Amino acid sequence: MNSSLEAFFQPRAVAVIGASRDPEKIGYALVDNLQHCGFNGQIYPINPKSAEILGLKTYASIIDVPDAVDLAVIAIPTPQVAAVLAECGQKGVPGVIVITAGFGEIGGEGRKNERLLVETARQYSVRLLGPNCMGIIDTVIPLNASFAGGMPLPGHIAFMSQSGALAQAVLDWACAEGIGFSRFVSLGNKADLSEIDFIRAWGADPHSKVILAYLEDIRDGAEFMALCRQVTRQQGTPIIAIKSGTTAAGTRAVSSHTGSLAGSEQAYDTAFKQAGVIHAASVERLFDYSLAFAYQPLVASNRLAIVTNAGGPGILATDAAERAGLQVANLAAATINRLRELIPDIASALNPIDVRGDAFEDSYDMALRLALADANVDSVVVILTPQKLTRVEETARVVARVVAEMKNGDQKSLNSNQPLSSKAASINLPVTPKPVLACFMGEAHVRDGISLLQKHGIPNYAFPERAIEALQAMWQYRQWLERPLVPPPRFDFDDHCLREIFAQVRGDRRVALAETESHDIAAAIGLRVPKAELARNREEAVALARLIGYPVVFKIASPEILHKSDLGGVRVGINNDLEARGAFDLITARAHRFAPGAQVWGVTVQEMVPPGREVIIGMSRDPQFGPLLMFGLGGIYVEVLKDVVFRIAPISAAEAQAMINEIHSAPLLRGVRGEKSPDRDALCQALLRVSQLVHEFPEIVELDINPLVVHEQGAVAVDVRMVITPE
Amino acid sequence: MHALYLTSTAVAIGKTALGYGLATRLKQDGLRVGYFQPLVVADRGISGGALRKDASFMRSALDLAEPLELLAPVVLDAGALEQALAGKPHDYAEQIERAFVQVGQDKDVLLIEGAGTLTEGLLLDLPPQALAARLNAQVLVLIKYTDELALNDLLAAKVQFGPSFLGAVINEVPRANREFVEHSVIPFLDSRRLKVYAALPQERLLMALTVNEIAEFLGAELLNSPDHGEDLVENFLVGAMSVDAALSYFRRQPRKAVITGGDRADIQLAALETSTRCIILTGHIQPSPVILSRAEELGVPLLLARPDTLSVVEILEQYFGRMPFHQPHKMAGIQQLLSKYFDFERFYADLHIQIK
Repeated sequence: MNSSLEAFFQPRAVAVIGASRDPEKIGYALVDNLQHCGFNGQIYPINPKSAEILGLKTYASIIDVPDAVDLAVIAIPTPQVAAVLAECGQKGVPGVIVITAGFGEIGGEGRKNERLLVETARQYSVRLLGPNCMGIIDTVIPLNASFAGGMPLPGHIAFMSQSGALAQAVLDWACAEGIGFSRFVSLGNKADLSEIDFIRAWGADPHSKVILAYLEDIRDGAEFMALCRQVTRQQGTPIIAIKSGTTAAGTRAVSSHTGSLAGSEQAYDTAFKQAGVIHAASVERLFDYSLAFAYQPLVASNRLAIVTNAGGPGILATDAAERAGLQVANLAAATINRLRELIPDIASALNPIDVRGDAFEDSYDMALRLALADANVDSVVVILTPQKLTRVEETARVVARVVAEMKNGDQKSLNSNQPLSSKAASINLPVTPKPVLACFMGEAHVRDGISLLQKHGIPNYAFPERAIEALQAMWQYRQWLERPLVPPPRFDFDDHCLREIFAQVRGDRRVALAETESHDIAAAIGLRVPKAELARNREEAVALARLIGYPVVFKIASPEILHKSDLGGVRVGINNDLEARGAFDLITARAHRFAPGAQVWGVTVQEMVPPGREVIIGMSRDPQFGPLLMFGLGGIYVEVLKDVVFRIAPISAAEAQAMINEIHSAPLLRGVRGEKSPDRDALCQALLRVSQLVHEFPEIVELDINPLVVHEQGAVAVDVRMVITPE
Repeated sequence: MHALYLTSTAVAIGKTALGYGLATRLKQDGLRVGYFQPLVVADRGISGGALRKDASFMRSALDLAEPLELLAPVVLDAGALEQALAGKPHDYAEQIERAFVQVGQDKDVLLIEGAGTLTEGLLLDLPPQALAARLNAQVLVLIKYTDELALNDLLAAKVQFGPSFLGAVINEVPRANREFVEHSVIPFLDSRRLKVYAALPQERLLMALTVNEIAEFLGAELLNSPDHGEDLVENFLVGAMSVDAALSYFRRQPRKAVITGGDRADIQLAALETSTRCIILTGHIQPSPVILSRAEELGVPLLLARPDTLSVVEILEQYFGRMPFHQPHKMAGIQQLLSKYFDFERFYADLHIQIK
């Protein structure tokens, strides 16, 4: 584990500053939890008014403690916290948890005081958790330096929460569900230590098989992504996160709560995806997924077998699997034949395998073994509905036995007194274990069976869809692990030209680039743009049209008219001088009529780009994660159908291809109904070049190429808009 | 002593700014510069000291010793106008001339802030050309560039002032017309013996309002960062959309005021994320304390206003670009602009001023 956080994960002596004898005080709960969690280090209550608390010798100040203290937990009134933190520093305490609230979360003085805490901590090289947090719990040490209601069960899940109260509720619920944790931390205001520090520490923790995070904001999007990528890929620890405040109203709630701009749901979703973080949509899913990751081996691929004693739930599972991008496996002929042979009254030997409503545990035993043994199967969901003849506990026991056998690779080490039947023994379980998830449906009749499953590390889900979603999360993680990580390509841009344009725009105290400036930038990064010139009067327009070559497009040139075509400010397909003169007069007259008072510079005469497939490439800089690239098909596809995909730049060639393939209307980019296929290479190149541009020039905050017309060969950026930062 | 009469073809197009810019430059060049405003025309309903605000500003900006009543001897308020309409003319010319002589003592150049339009003063039989002639001043005319038609006013002014006419300054030339003005308009005017000393580009900064001014017009309370009260606001935007859309929208306008409801924490944060000089919270809803702190850290004042969003917009629209010129930022701005675009060499030569 990270050495700077050792104080939090391997403390030998813990002090509770603000310890109390009053059972109604947090200072009491902290000492009580430390005493009863099995912690075998020293506990030092600190309270100037008591000599002894809960049978422990109590000191007036941390300074008075004779021995070294690794971790101090502070729960005293807000105004005294800074001074006491400084004392901890003087004492040489490396880790401090500030439980006390009333800092940054209340704004004003609180925020200033929080900064003071951080400065003090830095001055003494103290790492600080909180303030305004619930503390830390660790079942590995064990240690409970929190005021939580009790000690969670041990397990393999590491859980961090930005909401202490939510965490309390979740820990309590988990306890009832038999879900165990390796580590737990309540992040509080994240004045010093944040999600970054704990993800880093837990990523390398052998006791934590999966990291869960409930987050309201992220301190540093780029660092978060880089770290998660490393933890999920190199260290192979999956991270499942839920981010609250992603809807419009939710954002408002988070904004006034944390004082940080929440960032869009798209940005989070995209960032999580690109960093290998599994994005859970609810707290329920957060735990559904985590159980599968914590207790079952990762799926090798997406082919799933379903073993059920009822048709309906089997079909529900099949539908859910299909929707989730999983395959209901085609069982091998040998498997089907043996199923029929070993379970003579089987209802269906095809997947979903229906062992019939009156099936006993031996049918489940055979079916599960055969499904696992089939090379076409990567995972199994065992569904049970409690029917009149169903033997729930016995069935749970055989499922547990099969899973244990597969895990141990040893048929003799059985945790059952039932001898293995010769039929069962004749089925060879796979060498590499496959995940098995259970779905014992119901409540009263299945409760004991579920407990038995959970005791043996087989996650149970109340309904088939939830089990399938957990498998989907695993499959998503498997795909992430196997995706080759290729760095983005590097193009040579005319940086000098770009910087000059930006300087010119700022020199004019503007932030929005004029059309010609945006086009110059597009050209400087190697995109093809239509030839265009400004004509200030009719005859100039004619001359330019001739120079560019008919047919041409005329567009009103005015800094104040943004939606040109809405005002009739665009004419396409102008074929000769006569049409050009007419078009100039018409467009400028319309501008004066429909936008009176707007400055009209004249008309932009532009090369007429032949029709092709129109796409949009956009970018809006996200406050947390940076350049959020957008891609979609132009026109109604974006405006009405919102058929767009996002990535955070920079992207690799494979990611650019993936963006193109992910939109629903992707087939239109392959050529349909005998059309020639648009030049996907050119499109991919355009995405990559824009990606590099927005990555290398953080001053660009908004960019829109709408449309980029993709031809059979090449692509042209017809309309480019850009906004930069003022300084 | 050289008297320079500065007039414009329309009100609120930058006369005081130009006057200040010229005066400070002349001072820098070692000349003794005075200021004189012969006729102050009052807005309806205003009286008292507020009337001489331009003169008062110039007096302190140029560090002048003369009393305000001498720098701006005649104020045409409602009462004076009524008298004039009743046929009881006052001999203002005499009064002006006396003050003028006094103010002009020991000066190399006396800058006269003249009429805001080419017809101002006709009611009193004191049209600009009469005043300029009487004070023996040479006339510099300021016009705002709208299109080529604005030149008609300028040509008319040349005729109107006759031999007193010195030249012109064209203000607020849009970026797109800069080249056209330089290569077509100025040579054309030159050919008509009409000298243009400067074609000044449109400058948002000079049309800006300070945060304090905005607070004053709205009767709003400044909640934080009073040290940023003199920051200049160049644009204003209403924030009433989703937060994702707000960010893109806010980025398109730099140095702005954002008008939004006090309860829209998301919009307020989006505004703070972009170039914002102040946030006007409408409906008198206090912001979240966390946001107030954030605004304080970033030095962006929050203004707590009683009117609703629409009323705030209406009030601000009345003032934008029409505010008297007297903030330090603007003062530096006009000086920079003149040193870049004003042909001082020719100006001095035409006035027969020798710079040591």
